[in-house]
Amino acid sequence: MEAIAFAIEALVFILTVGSGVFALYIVVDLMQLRKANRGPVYKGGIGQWSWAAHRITGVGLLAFLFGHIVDTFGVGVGPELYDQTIHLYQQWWFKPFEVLLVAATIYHAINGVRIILFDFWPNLALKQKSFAYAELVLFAIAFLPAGFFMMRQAVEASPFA
Amino acid sequence: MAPMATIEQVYRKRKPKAFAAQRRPSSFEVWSWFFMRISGLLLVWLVLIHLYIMHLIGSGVERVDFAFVSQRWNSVGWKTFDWLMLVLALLHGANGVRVVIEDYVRSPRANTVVKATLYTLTGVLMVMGTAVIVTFPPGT
Repeated sequence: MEAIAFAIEALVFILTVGSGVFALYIVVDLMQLRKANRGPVYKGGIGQWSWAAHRITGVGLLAFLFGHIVDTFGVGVGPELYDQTIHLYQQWWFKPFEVLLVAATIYHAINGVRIILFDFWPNLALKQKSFAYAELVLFAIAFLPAGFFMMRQAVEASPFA
Repeated sequence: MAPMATIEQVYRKRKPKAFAAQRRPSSFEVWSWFFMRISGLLLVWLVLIHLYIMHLIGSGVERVDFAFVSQRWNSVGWKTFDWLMLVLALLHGANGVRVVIEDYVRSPRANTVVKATLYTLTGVLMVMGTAVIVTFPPGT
């Protein structure tokens, strides 16, 4: 059981690192496209970064979902395996990743709603810059309190408390 | 042995019209676009509620263990909620990554291999996730 739990935790770890690499790839790719001034790339600005952020958070969330389905499958195997696997998420040092997950979800949700609004009411896209900034404010309002509570939990459980 | 034909090559041969210069978007792409919007709007609520319950209130993820999950899955309502979220999130995510693959994996053969892998994983995980929710015995 311990070996299986370890394998599932390793899978979650690999998927996390993998989405980090993908995020880096997108950012470097955009930088190079802008430098070379070629290819189907937006001409910079906040719209381009929200496009990149939507992609990066989307791929990261699917990567986590893959791992999360595998670990939840452990519920069907029994308490022993599931409780051992879930232990990874409960380490105090895992908290930053959990906070990142929540941040990615909130951002992807808000930005997704903005995309839907632009799709169905194209005139709104004329004000895309204002929307992009409003979105950042909304994100801060939704995420900062949640991030604060979660980090406080982690600090209390850590050896530094 | 001749190299294996890609899905696109086979499709091109059978449906040359789909590759005509002034073709309209295939109805699959239109439905996929529409599905992303509808599932996205539903997932905003499903996932934010899920995150709120699992990560924020109480002592967050610290209290999640087998007993916690089995208590939740005693309710057919939460089972339905979780299953709906599983199906929508997995299809929404897989379809999103399909679009990303079209952008970055240009070689037709690699494109086919990567997409086939994605669809296989999605299928396997859909079965695993559905099985664990549906077969979880009430009263555990």
